[in-house]
Order: sequence, then structure tokens, then C-alpha cells
Amino acid sequence: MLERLVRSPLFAIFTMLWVTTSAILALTNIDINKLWFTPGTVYFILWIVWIVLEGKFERKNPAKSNIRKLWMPREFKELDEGQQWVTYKACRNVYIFFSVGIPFGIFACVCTIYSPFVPIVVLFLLGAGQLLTYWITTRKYSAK
Amino acid sequence: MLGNRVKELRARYDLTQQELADAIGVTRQTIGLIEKGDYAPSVAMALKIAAAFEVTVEEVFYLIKGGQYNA
Repeated sequence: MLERLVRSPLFAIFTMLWVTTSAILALTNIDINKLWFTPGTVYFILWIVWIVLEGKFERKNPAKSNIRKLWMPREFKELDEGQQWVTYKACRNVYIFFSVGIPFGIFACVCTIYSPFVPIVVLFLLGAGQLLTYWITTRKYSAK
Repeated sequence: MLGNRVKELRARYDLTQQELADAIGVTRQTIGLIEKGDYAPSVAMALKIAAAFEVTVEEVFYLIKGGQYNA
């Protein structure tokens, strides 16, 4: 359960969705300070929860632990050459996704140039698509 | 394309994927990828696998041409 939660991209996608919603709320002149919490606080709390869960998981599963540099994406698994190959395949698919998604995103922004929301939504969709593409590819190969 | 007899040899030596993975210092998922033919291992890993089964590399890995085995 903990592994599924930590390894799932849904947590990161939910965080991005929250930031996107907050940005749109800010643009619609809603006083977000009147809400019972500010988006920044929620983002910070979610980030702390994520770090704690990841730390717990890696302590329980030292074999699956992966010492990473801070700037390395947490999804990367590079324990051996087989895992590095899976990372290569996933990154390749993400590259293909971006090579199609970015032109569509630019087109959507140009077509709706007077809407301040579209670029934010496009950025969210590209980010969520990147995470899902990576996750689907790694699951395809790790299920074997 | 590279074919292999890892699964067959593993069955002969009564080893699980995890046991073979531990013996050569890789993850179980990597053994699964090799057995399915998705991933062609490096020469170093091929040598380690062959050594684990106490056979030569040619007895574990072979080239497949036009669907026929080139053992």
C-alpha cells in the first residue's frame, strides 16, 4: 500500500492540479486568503508528507532504496543496467509525448490568446502527461 | 535479436528469479526483462549469468535470425 502510494504518479499529479487550481483562482480575483488555508501552505504540507512517506518506504525497503542527488527526479530507478534501460525507454516515450504535446499546447495557447487560464491548464496537462507516460512505461516493464 | 535459455537453466538449477538476481547482483525485474527477451544484457552481465550456471555464454545466449535459432 505504502509502496503503491509512494511510487504512484497520482500524488504528484494531485499536487500539480492543486497549484493549477490555485493559479486560476488567483487570476479570477478570488481572495484565496479567505479560504481556510492558502495554496502555498497546502503545497508545503503535501511536499512534507511526500518526503516522510518516501523516507519511510526506503527505510523499510533498503534493497529498493536509490540514493539520489536532490535534483534527480524521484521516479528514476537506476539500481542496475536493466533498470537503467527501463528508465531510458520511459524517457524516450516522454520525449515522444512532448514532441507531440508541446506543438498542440502552443496551438491551444495561440487560439485562446486572450484567456489567461489556457497556458496554465496546458502546463498542467503537459506535466500530468509526462508523469503518466513515464509511470505507464515503467509499469509495463516492471510487471514482468 | 538475442535469444536466451535463462528460464530453462533457472528451472534446471531450481533457482527463482530473485535467487539468480541475488547471485549476480541485479534486481529481479532485470532477470524478468532478460527472460522475456525485452532486454539484451551487457557482455559483463551475460558472463555473470553464464558463470552462475557454470556454462559458457554461448550456452545461455544465441542469435535469432529470421525466427530460427542460431545456437
